[in-house]
Amino acid sequence: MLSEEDFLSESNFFDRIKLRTSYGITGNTEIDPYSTLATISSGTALINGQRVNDSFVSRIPNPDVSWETTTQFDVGLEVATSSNPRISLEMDYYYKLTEDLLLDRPIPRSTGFSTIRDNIGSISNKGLELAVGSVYSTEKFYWESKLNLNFNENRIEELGANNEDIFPGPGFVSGSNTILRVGEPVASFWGLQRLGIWGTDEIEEAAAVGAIPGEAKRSAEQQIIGNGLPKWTGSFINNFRFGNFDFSVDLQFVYDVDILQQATHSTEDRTGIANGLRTILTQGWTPNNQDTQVQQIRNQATSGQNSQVDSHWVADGSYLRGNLFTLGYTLPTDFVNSLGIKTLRVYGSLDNAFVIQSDSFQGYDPEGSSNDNQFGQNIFFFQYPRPRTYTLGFNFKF
Amino acid sequence: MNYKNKILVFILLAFAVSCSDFLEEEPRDALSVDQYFTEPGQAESAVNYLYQNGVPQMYLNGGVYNGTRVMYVQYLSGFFDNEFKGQERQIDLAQQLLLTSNNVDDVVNGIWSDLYRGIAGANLAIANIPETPGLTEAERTNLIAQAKFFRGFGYFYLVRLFGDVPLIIEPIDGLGEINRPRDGVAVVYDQIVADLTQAIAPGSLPTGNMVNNGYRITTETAQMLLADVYLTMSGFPLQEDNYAKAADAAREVINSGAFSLTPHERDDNGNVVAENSAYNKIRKEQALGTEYIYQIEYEAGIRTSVYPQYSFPSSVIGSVGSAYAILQNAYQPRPGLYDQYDQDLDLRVQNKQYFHTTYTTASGEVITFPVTPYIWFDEDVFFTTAQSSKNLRAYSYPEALLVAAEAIALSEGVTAEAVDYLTQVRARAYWTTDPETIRAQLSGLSATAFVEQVWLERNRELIFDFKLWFDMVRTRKYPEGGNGSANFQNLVGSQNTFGKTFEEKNLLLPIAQSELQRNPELTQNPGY
Repeated sequence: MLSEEDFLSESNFFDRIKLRTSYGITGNTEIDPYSTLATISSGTALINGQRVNDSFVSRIPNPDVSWETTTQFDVGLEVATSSNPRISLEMDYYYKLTEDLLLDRPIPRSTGFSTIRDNIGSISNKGLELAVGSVYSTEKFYWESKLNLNFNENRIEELGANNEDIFPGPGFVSGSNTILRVGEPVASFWGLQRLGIWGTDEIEEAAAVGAIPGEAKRSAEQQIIGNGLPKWTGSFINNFRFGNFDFSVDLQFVYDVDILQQATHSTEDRTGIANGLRTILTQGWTPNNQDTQVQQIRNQATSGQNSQVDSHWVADGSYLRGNLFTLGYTLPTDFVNSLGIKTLRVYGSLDNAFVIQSDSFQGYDPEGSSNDNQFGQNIFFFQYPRPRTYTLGFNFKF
Repeated sequence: MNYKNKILVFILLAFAVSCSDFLEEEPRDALSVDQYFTEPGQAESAVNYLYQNGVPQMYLNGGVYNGTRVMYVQYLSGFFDNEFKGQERQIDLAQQLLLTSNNVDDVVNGIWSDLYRGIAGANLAIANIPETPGLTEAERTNLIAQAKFFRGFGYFYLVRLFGDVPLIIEPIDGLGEINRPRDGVAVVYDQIVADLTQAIAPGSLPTGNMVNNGYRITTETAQMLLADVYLTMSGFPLQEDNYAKAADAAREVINSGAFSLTPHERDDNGNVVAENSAYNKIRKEQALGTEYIYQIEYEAGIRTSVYPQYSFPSSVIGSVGSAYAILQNAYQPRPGLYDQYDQDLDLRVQNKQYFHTTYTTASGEVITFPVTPYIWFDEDVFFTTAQSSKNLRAYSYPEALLVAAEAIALSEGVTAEAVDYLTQVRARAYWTTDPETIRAQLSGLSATAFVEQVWLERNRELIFDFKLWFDMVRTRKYPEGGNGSANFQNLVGSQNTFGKTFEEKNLLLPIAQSELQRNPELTQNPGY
């Protein structure tokens, strides 16, 4: 507590200055029992028109598994003033390294198995957390404001025995849409790069890869085309009180993150099978509109379709959400007391008032995931939006 | 010994006993491998696993869009098209001869790991059944023979698709044994022949056809596979002359009396009743015991066939009123293959035999569409439950006849027997042609010309048995089709139907990049 040191104790401006740091190691053994033993798993097969039992070894045994450890280091500073408004600041830097991750490590599939439960690799998270607050209060007016800012950087440091790539899914169209690769964050999207649309002067180049003008031009190999883990998250919350009125505003934001819009497959690249986005009409390739990223409208039945996970599906996932607005009025005490009530507050609130999102995002709401894959964050397939809720309420106290 | 000494001995004993055994876990809600194989039913269940894992997955695995794995192998020939290749990039890449170990990682991985999982299941059974108590000697031999059949079958698929592959014939039970290098094609074939030789040993498996044997494999199933193995070994890349052995194995199937060519139904004038031709019987029946030598079983409610979904193009989904949500022409023959059928004389190519191009709606409107497989149109369920029980043939009696014809021609010459086998298959299709005319045309041919006629017949007759690509690789010939025939030219240097030129490297699939990463002992196939 710096503020209680001699050199600061005389100061009236700072109410509190605190430096703190912590370091710790925690262990985790959260895996299913016997998951290191070669147990027999049973199922059924079809033989002679009937279900019959079948059995196979569920895994290769690994008696040498130990627990995973997370080492975390944190250094922080807390400052608060004694002025009015009272300003407070909290800042933390952390570094978290999870080692000996208990995960399924890829092994040669020629063994008959694709993974073994093992201590594989490590993942680091480092980041900054900043919270700035102020409170201003007079007899009639009170204003409390709080800004939270979090920055996180995630990196895979090691994987398996040979730093091999892992494709953990979710799978869609052709293969896993994510990759785990050393040096990259988890939840990295895996796909082709869309380089544009083949033009009428590129007939030969297009034919070399079996395409025609009007179809998407893509890189030959897949690569990382985005990431579903946000770098920045935060909120900005304000509470006001003026006389008998109270008002609060809660804003929430996410910045520097991508969304993989799987729905582009159905609504744009696969024209003619399902309902489409307006972009196929407004931006679709035509001989007169060749500088576009949207393919030509095709009759799927006769010309086939052309749809791959590619960078054109990736949108900026940053957003600012008006999370909650509340306006309240507390009725005069004299009046409500005469009704036999101690206090009565009337309020209205608006939950999820608005979302400001990037133009490249074609869905309704850029928050969420359409799958339950642990690495499938921010992969959207016709994601349901969050509802907007209007509330009118009364608080009675008797 | 007085009591003090006794105590001392006890204490010493306590130290001598290691406590690590005490820490060993014996699961109670699951069985570990050590606890398994203690009763006959467990041995049987380990073999049952092989009837739907490993090779059977080649036929079973696949969705309505991508087609099954056996279809994928045939896309490599460039003779088949898929309506949804625009979203199934791996198909487009196969047709364009643009495969790399990265861009089709998923597919080659799937094939490789399914096959090896079946092999691991067989290894487990083969290693443990000899020690399983309670089995009679006959049961034990039979179960091991079934497991060896499936192990040999698994390696036969692997070696044809990937060339040299790690040959693993023992269960792997520790991390120390997982990184295996590739073994040469010859070594792998030796193991396949050894496994199948044991499977056909007298008294190992029941004889007859699969249907009569409760849909389990028989000696003849194993003989058929062995005949195919010997025939393939005689071609590329091994070129080890095993034609005589292939002929012998195929003859065992033919002379067993368990099989025959399904005849057409004929009217009073001797004309074929089109809707009850042999090919329509294949389409309608759940299984033709005497025609199918190895088949993949389906049963509504347990495992339903996906193949009826491939019996119409997607464009007609609104018109035909199918119970299937999605239809697609995933196995459309390209003109270069379709033109190998004689459009006038060959019954197989007439509308609503092997293929169809029209459909008459309830209101009487006739819809036309591109050539689409009709053989998988299971009309019993197509409009109602979408739960098809029609079995899929993987080896059939016509193939036994055609393998015998080819192998005899190349070991004994174009004998009357060889000519007869090819004539039988061809005459069923060319039913308006006098069989003696066919026999006469074939009898005068040189061995080379006769064998090309066998290949041509294989392309046509066995189109739904998924053989074409394997034939192209073992013969290194490209069948340039037209006018009801084919001209066989060198595969390397020929252009496929998409105008892409085959190179040596295209004869094998690449090893998946992810498998190379997992196993530092592996090497990539040349050219990838």
